[in-house]
Amino acid sequence: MNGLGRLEAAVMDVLWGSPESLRVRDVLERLAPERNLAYTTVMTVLENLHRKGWVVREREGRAYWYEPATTREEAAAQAMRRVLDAMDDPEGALLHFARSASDREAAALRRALDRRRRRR
Amino acid sequence: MSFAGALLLGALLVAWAAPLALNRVAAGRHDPLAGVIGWIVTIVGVVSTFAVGSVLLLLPGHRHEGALGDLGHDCWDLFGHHVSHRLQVLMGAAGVAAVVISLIRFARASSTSLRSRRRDHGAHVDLIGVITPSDAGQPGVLWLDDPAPFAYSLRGRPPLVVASTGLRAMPVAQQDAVMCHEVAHLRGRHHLLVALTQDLSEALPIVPLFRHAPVAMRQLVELAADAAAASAFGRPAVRAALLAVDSGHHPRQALAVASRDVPLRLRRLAQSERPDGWLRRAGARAAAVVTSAVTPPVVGLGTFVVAIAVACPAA
Repeated sequence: MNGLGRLEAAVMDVLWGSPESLRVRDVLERLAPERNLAYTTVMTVLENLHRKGWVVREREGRAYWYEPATTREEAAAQAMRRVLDAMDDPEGALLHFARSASDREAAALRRALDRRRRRR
Repeated sequence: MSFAGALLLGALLVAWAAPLALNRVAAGRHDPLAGVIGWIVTIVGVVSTFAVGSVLLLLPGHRHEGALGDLGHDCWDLFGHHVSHRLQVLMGAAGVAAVVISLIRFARASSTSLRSRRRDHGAHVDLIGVITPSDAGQPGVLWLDDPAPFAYSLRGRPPLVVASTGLRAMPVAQQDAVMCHEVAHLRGRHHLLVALTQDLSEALPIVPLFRHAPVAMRQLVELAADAAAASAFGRPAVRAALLAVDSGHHPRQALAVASRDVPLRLRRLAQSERPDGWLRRAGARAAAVVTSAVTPPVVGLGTFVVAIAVACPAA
C-alpha cells in the first residue's frame, strides 16, 4: 500500500461510499462525469488497487465485483500508523498522540489494550 | 612527484582541511546560499580533482607534462627520490579504485535512503487519499489532528507540507512564516541537498569533508528557509514561530521547522542588519563557486611548488 494516486483515491472513495460491491462499469458511472474517463482506465486503476491490496474482488460470470479490503476508518488508521512509523522517534510520537487523544479515543485505546492483554 | 600527484595531494588536503574553512564562513553573517554553493562545489571539486589526478597517473605518457612537471622530476631525481613509473601507476590504480568503490558505496546509501523516503512519502500520500480523496496527488498541506504545533515538509511527487492543527492556534503571521519556511525548503530543493550530503557521509565517513557536510547543509538550508520566511513575514514572526513550534515529530527524511540549530537561527534573526542587496549576494555566490572550484588543484600545485622550492632551491 503505497502512494495512493489521485484517480485511485477517487475510485476508493466511490467504493467506500457504496454499500455493495461494484463492477468496473458501476465505478465508472459513479465517478464524477466531468472526468470523462475511459472504461479501460477505470479497469486498470481497479487492477492496480487490487495488486496493491486496497480492494478485493470476486468473479461472477465475466465480470469482477470489487469492494474495499478495509473500511475507510481502518484504512485511515493504517495510513496514520504508517505516518507515525515514519517519525524519527515513533515511540515518542505515539505517546504524544496518545496524550493528545480525546476521552473517547483514550477509552477505545484502553479497551484495545485490555483485549490484547487478555489474549496473551 | 608530478602534476598528477599534485592534484591527488591537493584533493586530499582540501578534503581534510575544507570543513574548518567552510564552517567558519557559515558561522559568519553570510548569505546561506553562498555557503550551500561553497560546500557543493568543494565536494565536486575534490572528487573530480582526485579522479583526474588518479587517471593522469595511469596514462602512459603522463610524465611529460611541461616545464613544471620536468622541474619536479629533475629536482626529485637530483635528490635520489626518483619515483618509479611503476609506483605512480600503482598510486593511480589505487586512486581510481577508491573512486569506484566510493561511487558504489554512495549508490548503495542513496538507494537505501530513497526507499525510506518513498515509504514515508507514500504513507502521507495514502493518508491524504483516504481522508480527502479530492486532494490526492496534488501538492498541498496535510493537516494532522494534534494540539502540539509542528510542521515539516517532504520531497516527492507531489511535494507535501505536513502541519498539525495545533499550528492554527498561533497568530496568523507566525503560521504564514512557518508555511513560507517549509515552502522555501521545497522550492530550494533543500531535501535533495541534505539527502545527497547525508548519503555521501554514509558512503565515506572517513573523509572529513563528507562527514561534516550533512550537518552543515542542514544548518544552511534552515538559515536559507528562515531568511525566505523573514523577508516575506518579518523577522519577529519567524523568531516567535521558531520558539512556539514543537521540535519533536517529523520523519527522518523531512525538514521540520524547528528541529535544528534553533539558538543559532534565533541569533541570526535577532541581528537587525539590512539584508544584502542582490548584487552583493550574486557576488558572494559567484565568489563561492570560483573559490571552491579552484581550491583543490591550486592547493595541490602550490604545495608541489613549495616542496620543490624548499627541497631543491638549485633546480
